[in-house]
Amino acid sequence: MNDLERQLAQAAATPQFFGTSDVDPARMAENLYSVHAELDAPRESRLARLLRRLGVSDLTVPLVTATPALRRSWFAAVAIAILFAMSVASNDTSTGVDRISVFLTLAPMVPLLGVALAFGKGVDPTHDLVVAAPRDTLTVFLIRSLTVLVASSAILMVSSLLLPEGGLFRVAWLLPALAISAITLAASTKFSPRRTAGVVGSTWLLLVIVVASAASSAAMFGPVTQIASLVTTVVAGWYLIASRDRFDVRGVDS
Amino acid sequence: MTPPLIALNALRHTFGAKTVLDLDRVVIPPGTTALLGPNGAGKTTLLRLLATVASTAPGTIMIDGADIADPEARLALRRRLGYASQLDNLPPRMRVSEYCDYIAALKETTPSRRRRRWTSYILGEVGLTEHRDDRISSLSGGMRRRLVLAQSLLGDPDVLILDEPLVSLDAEHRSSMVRLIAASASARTTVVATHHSDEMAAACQHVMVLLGGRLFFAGPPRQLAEQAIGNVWETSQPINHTAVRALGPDRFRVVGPRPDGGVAVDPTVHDGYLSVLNSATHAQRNAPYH
Repeated sequence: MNDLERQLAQAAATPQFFGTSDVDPARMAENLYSVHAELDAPRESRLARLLRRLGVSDLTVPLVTATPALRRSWFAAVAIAILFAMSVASNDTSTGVDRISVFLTLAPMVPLLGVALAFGKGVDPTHDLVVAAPRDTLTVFLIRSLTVLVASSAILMVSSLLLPEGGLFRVAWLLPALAISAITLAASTKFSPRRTAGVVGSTWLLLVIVVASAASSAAMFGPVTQIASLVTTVVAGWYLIASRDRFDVRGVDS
Repeated sequence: MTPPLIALNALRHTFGAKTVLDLDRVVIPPGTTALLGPNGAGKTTLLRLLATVASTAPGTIMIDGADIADPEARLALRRRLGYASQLDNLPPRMRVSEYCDYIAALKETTPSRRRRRWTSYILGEVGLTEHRDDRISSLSGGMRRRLVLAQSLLGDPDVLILDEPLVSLDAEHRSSMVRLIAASASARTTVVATHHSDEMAAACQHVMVLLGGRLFFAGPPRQLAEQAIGNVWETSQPINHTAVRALGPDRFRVVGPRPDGGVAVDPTVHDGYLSVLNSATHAQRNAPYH
């Protein structure tokens, strides 16, 4: 206890310290708690300080920083997954577009996995407390999923730009990633996010293989897919908001 | 705000084909209610229903006359609810103060200064101030249990649902936690599931005994103790009896028929609980179609 704290402790114990006897001891004690709370408060994490600077609301910052998928282990897994995708793309001996297609196929799986691991009984020890809290469960789920989506998309975007060729085609994974993540979020109103992500991810891979075999991999990530992804994202988002009551009692089982 | 009265009506809960809770009409008044029963009696299920973590259908839970199946009533309950689950479901990588801040944010406590004040206060109450910067993974079992209780008290809720809050605590901390739970009993409706019946009895105004999901006793602790009058004995002879507690190397406390050399003693709440359990088990065995 430093000098200031010692003096404040004395002040709370003896109102006469201030030369008056009509100070409410309960109020003094409460004030002391406030002072202690400020003095002892640990320094906020860098992420929390960054979020505040970006204008994220006071109630949202702790929910973002508590996202289970935002731990170092998750980032390590993401980095390994991306390195693997880039490595596969670089070692491919076919045309430039095909090499990038490998990356474009695997890249949307990263945010998808992040969303699956952002929330739910199996991954979040505080799941029951989230459901029992007055904060809307869907809001917490969305905050965490968006956090993971933004974080993983940012890493993927940098990785995309590091690919030696492909131009704008290198970022053609973005809208499909949003679409399959949005489908997972919407389906999570009925099924567990992890199971849903498994089904959606497998379907995505199957779809890419089928289309690439029938036409070309360039067609798979062309304008039609981009527009379809955008429409899917909007529809899934609308469904998610319309089904928000489903989250209210049971939360998300996984 | 006046602490609420909780009324349960035709409440049933099943896991597959098994009915784990079957309560017809139960009233939980303001004050502290201890929920007693062996493992699998339905205590945790009831607490999860009260904490709105599980769906209530079929049956109703009314808080001050409002059915919590209604989203507005459920939200109103959650705004005045503190819940500590049976398991130490704590995120191991988080620091103690960070965890409290997170839970306070879930409880819509704002601004962050207010959350810090609550954190400081509540960690002081459970004796964890010195550990506020520690990672949860570094805490002992008892400290983790106290942290679970601490988070439930954040925001001074007037409905407190506690599932086995005294597990993993040493005698000293059990005593301080009971004092903490009892401190504002008149300002809260608290429901505590516990196996420490005698220790919790000191802090409770009401006791409920569950077995097989059904209610077998509801009343004040003294009345529960009275259930065992004339059936509690101390003896130096070890006997084969289910309701026996060893008090020392050559001293045993028995609830039931008088054992050889048994000396009658005054019953405690725990004796009353064992007596009710004996009767309830007997009744269940003799029930038709059991």
